[in-house]
Amino acid sequence: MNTAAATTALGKRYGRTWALRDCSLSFPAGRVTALVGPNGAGKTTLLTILAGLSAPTTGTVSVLGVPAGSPRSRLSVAFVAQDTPVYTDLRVRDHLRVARDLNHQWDQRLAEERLAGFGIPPGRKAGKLSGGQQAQLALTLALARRPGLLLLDEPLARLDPVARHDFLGSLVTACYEEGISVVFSSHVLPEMERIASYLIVLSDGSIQVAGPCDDLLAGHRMLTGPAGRAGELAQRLGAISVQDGTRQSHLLVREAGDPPPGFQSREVTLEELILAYLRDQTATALPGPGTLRAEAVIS
Amino acid sequence: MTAITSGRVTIPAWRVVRAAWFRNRMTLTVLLAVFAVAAGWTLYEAERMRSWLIAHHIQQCIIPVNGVGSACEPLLTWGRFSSSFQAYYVIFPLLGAPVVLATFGGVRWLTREYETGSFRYTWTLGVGRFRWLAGTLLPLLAVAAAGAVACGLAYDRWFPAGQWLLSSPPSGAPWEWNEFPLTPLTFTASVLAGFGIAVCAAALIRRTVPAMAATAAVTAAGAYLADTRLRTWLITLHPVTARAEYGSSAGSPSGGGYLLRGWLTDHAGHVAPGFLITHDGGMMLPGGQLGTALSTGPAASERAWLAAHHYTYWISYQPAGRLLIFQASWVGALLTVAIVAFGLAIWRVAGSR
Amino acid sequence: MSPIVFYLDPGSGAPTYRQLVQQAERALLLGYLRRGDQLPRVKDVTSSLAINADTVLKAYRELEHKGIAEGRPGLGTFIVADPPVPGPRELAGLRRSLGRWLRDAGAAGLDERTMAALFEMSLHDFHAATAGAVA
Repeated sequence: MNTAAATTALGKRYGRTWALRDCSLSFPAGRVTALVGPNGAGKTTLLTILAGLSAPTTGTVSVLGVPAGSPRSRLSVAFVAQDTPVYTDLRVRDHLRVARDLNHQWDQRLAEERLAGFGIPPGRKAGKLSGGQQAQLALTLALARRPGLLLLDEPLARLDPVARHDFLGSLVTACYEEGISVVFSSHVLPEMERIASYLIVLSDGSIQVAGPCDDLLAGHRMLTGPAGRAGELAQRLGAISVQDGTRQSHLLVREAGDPPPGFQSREVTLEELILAYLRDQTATALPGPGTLRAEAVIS
Repeated sequence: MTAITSGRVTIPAWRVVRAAWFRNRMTLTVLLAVFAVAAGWTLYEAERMRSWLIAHHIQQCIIPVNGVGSACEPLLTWGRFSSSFQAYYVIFPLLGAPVVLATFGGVRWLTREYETGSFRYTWTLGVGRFRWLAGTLLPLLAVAAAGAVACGLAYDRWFPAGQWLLSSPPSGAPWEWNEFPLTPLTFTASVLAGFGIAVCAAALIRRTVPAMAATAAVTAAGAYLADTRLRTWLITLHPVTARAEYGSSAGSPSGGGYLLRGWLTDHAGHVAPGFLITHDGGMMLPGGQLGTALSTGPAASERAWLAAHHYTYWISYQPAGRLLIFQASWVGALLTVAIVAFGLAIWRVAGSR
Repeated sequence: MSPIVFYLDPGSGAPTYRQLVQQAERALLLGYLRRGDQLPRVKDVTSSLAINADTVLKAYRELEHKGIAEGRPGLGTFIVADPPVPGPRELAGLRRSLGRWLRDAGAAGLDERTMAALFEMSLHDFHAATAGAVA
């Protein structure tokens, strides 16, 4: 798989706090990568560094083969920041006009068709649009640049369910049709599960989980069995999460084979997996050579 | 996947400027309108005064800058002239314009980017931060400079008649605090310095209301200091000292010069104590016979008395030709402030990531 | 436009691509899809369901693997199999065995409502078992 972007030992410090620490990541090309993590984990910092808005303190970052933030990276990277900022006093069609002057490649027809398809009137000031319409405007402005890499920082936050659905649908379709690589950070886990091919879980500035969704799901199981034996099994297998009842326990483990005798196993959903890792901040699932490395510690 | 292709990496500068002009056209149009109103109002008053003086057959009082004017002094209709026109309806707006324009025109276009977060959109387009900022400043400064020059030229048209309303006798050239900063050269420099401070405040503070408050405070303080401290320091540098005839037009520096002080020396060369003429025409009289002689009777008899008692009248002044040099120095100082302020703003916006 | 429209059942527990496979198979069985019909275009599915294009492609590959559909580059994915239709003798035999079950249930004391509930539960188990078998 080609990489759309890669970071090596990336670190970012603000004052005395490290927002990102030693992050080495590789984002696949032509796919949607989900960036998940608690508030303050460093998702926005990572995205702004990829977009070239801020420079890393340590490490290197490259997007589409060139260093992030360089003039050549601006040719092909588009960023839709949190709250999808647009010029509130500028009309929709004026946004297109300004963007056409300030971009190397600009597909005016695509922009106009997309906006018409969503019923966004070109003569209205952007401040008077609804939250969903503003988000679609920001996404259109990004897509009409014909980027190779599209970065989105929690664009769903202000959207109602219909607007979210439309936004995601149009995003995934554009990704598929144009072959754009997408990195998308959000808190809405079920929706991430539907659209993402690659998952990164960021926690307190470092990477907890990184890998293709299919591989992660295939490599984890939820085991259900008698409560008495669960504790020892959890230690042995390095379980990510344990839930105990008086007679029955569930363990989320990094195992793909047959369950141990007396236990049933089922597949997990991505949401369950993410929640389990976020709750146990010491567990990691990082891509090693070949298979997933197991480094969980149960307290 | 759209890979990065090698090709032109920079957007042409004219496109950046065009986009910035289009983006900020509201602000720029309002700025232009304000300048137009100020210049237009000044011109209107200027023409009103001129036609009044012509109608009253005293057009010789319309003294060009650096001309000689005291032949106009005993105006029979002087009282009506000064009651028909009010200088400060023109002077105060012009004096306050750089502060107001900088505060309301120079700050918000940049702080808005920070407050709404739209800079995250703008700065990830094809242009880099520096070129975006430079391209946006260009139309702003062009409008500010053009508007300021227009206002200065309008003031130059107003001054020959209007100076009669400002001081009596009239100064002959714009040396005073309410005249000096309003000529085409000086007014443009103060407008540009004001915008420099505004943009610098916007880049450093990044919030609209605090940046506007800081801009208003700094530009107002700066205007006050430039007009009182800097100007007075400049025009007291290396004055020319010469003898003059007390109480006659020859007792003032030839047309357009600036009288700093006058004093008397006695036959032994000692300065007569307590007698001093200051540039605003004030005079301190000594007591005793000298004071009596100078305070009674017309100037001719005073001159005769001084000559009889071997007193010599001296003046210290700046010749007319030096005004331009002082204005140029003043402009240089303000433009330095502007350049430093713009440089600081550019460094803050485009330099660090 | 395709004859059918896919939907997502968030409560089904089956992975998304498997749901699409099952919906296509069921549509074929019920007659909504016939040989030669085109399955929904990938971009229509991604935009209407907001799911990953890979998921749709995976489902279509599965259908190809089962011999039900065939992808034609540049044109789309088309149904190439006929729906499995039970013959009249098979249908008659199924009806008879169903009738025997109903008589047994009635003899055991079940009323009609309970018989229907029992049938629903068995149908649910059957559904779960076939879903597991397909995986």
